[in-house]
Amino acid sequence: MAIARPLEIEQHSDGDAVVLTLRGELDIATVPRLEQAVDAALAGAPRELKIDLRPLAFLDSSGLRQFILLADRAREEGWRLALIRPGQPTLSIFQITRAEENLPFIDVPEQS
Amino acid sequence: MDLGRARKILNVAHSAFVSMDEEGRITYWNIRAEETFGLGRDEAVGRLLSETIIPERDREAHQAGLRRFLETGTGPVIDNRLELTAIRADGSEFPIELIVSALREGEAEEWTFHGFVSDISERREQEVERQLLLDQLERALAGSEQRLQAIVDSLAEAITIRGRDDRLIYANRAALERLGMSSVEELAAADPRELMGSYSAFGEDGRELSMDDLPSVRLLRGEQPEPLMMRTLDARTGGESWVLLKAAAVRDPDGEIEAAVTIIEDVTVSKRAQLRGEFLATVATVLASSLDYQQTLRNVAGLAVPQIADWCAVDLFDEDGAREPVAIAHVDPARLETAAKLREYEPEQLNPEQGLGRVRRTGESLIYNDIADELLVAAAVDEEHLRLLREVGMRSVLVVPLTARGRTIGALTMVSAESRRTFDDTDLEFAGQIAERAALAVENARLYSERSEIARTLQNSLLPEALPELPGWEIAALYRPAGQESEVGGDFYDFWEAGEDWLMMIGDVTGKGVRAAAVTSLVRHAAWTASEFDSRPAHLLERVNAALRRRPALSVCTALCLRIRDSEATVASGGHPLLWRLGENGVEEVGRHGTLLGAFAQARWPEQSFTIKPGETLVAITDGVTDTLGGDDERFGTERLAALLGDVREGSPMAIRESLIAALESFQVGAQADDTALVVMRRVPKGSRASAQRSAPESAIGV
Repeated sequence: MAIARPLEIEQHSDGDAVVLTLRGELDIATVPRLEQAVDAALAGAPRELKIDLRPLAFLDSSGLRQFILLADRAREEGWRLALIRPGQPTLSIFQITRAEENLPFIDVPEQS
Repeated sequence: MDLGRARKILNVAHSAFVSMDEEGRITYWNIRAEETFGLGRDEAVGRLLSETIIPERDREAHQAGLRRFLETGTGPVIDNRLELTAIRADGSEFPIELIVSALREGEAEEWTFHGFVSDISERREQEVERQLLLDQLERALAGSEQRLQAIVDSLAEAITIRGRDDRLIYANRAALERLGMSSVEELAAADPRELMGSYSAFGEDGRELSMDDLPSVRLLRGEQPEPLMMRTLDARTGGESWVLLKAAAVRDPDGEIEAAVTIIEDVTVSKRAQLRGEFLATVATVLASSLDYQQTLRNVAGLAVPQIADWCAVDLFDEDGAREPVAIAHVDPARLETAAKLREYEPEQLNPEQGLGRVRRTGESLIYNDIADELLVAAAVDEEHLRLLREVGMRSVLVVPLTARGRTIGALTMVSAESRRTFDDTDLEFAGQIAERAALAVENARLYSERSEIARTLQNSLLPEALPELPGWEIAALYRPAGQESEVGGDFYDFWEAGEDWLMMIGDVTGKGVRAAAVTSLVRHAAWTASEFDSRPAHLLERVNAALRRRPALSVCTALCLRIRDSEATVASGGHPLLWRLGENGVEEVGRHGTLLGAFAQARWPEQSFTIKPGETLVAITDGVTDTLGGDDERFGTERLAALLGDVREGSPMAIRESLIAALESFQVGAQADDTALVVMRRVPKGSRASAQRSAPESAIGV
């Protein structure tokens, strides 16, 4: 089994949006933590959920699948999802899979 | 012997040495005598002994004794060890031990008397002191302090007081009971070393303890002992108990230690609970450590001896009631031979009325305590059998069932023999808890081996049975699932023929297990079907994407599709790592990124076609290769892969495969996290024989 590697999730508000900042590694072992954090963030019915991927060191296909699910869910439930674009190497899996052009990425200046 | 020489020797003797003539005058006085009596030799010699060292009240008796000896040649004083009172030069009295010999050269000669004198003040003082303390205690505890005695006696904790000579001088009621004594007087008279005689005592580490390890004794030796946790076995009853001994000093007004008070707390219940908790945790760990339940049961039996029992055995039952002995343990391996011989006497089919057979039939525990010899005689089938039974020397036996899903699948047996312990209800409960865990482990292992079998079958159905023979190509492949044997991995590869073309597909379905296996199966079938009409890689990916999109739950997959038509290759990627091409110009990725399959409504799969020259090699991987985790949280990554492929690019597909496996193994830290699949294909170089070389798919787990 994969060694459970740490994922830190930090939540703060930014106007109408809830922002989740992901640090560490998002993989099959830590995906459940992201699911919990998203459920908690959506409990307050915010208009927008922003997920900051910039501090994320690694992301595997389980993590990618989670963002695809979230994008579908946002469409169905009528809230806005925004993924703050990370740099390399985290961005590469979104590029290889062309998920970058299919997921709602946004760019923000350093430290929003 | 020359008297002068003898006196020189006597002068340095440890005891005082004094000689006397028939008149009772001192004729010799050694250095120790000078010290003992506080009188110099020059002063002493010539004086009457009686006036020098005998108290006035005893002098008359001394003179009478001397006269009687001179008349009869015998007397009670001579050659006997006597305890008397003597005086020093300053008139002070003190106790002495005296041995007197009488000597004479011949009948006509005069007698001389020689005495060894030891000052026994110190020894006496201790005895007197003990008596004083005892009296004080008695006074303190009796009379006006009777209430205190009642309180001390009513305490559940045993309390003892040990005097400076190591004797126990007081014990409260609980302590007397523990020691098997009826009164303090009986206790005070007992030899302290014999008090421990009926008990065997052990430290927490299992080491046998002696009286010198007791905190009170160590305290009296001037040490500062920690409280002692002690396990005792009563030889008479076979009962085990745990006590915590704490000692405190009783000091006289000068601060000298007079006695040591010990509080003996019976902590049997809590200590057993603690030990058993720890033991069960260890058992659970051992049982979970491996799926080889026969080995883990042997390990558990080994843990139980000698801490819980002298013997521990585990048997499993089959459907027909026959037993399968799985484990038997004893601390001394030599004794296991006895057990093996005994086993030969036991019938294959269990008797449902007794022992294991009864436990199997009823599913209930059995406990036998104080097994009498008659029972052995009754059970033995012949002399040899009886001899072996007696050799084991069982005192107590307990048998608990191993129950899984309401069925008794085996039994755990514990035997107490040479330790002479007896088992009680708490032992039965404890053995039951061990058995519960053992049964679960057996059941899990059996279920798991079934699941593993299913998983293997399923996995094999997802890989080509053998690599194909592609004319003009050499191929090597690797498939290595991560994690448990019972899980089906999400990576796959496949080769198939479609008309003039050969198709290769390698992919990675997100997730594991049966769900992933179902998606893998769907992907392969969709691709096969599509290739019958149109073998372009982009078309295959489009059809696979459409099939996945029709599934109710999000099912995503990455796949790389390669078509070979003679020397022409066409490749497209559905979100999969690109194909590597190893040629004269070095190492490069070929093709363009395409959309992940099953994920998005908007998708495209750009194709790239190229000519493959003889000797060039194509390598397709899954992300398990580049995501392999090494030290310092580093991933193997694309750059390392490119460098490695560059180094080995002229090797055969098999050599490239082996180099990559070796590189990943040396890079990897910890367990393999993700499935890994790999396909290496080389267009046979010119001049080589054009026969295809293949390697069988490898499904070895673990790196």
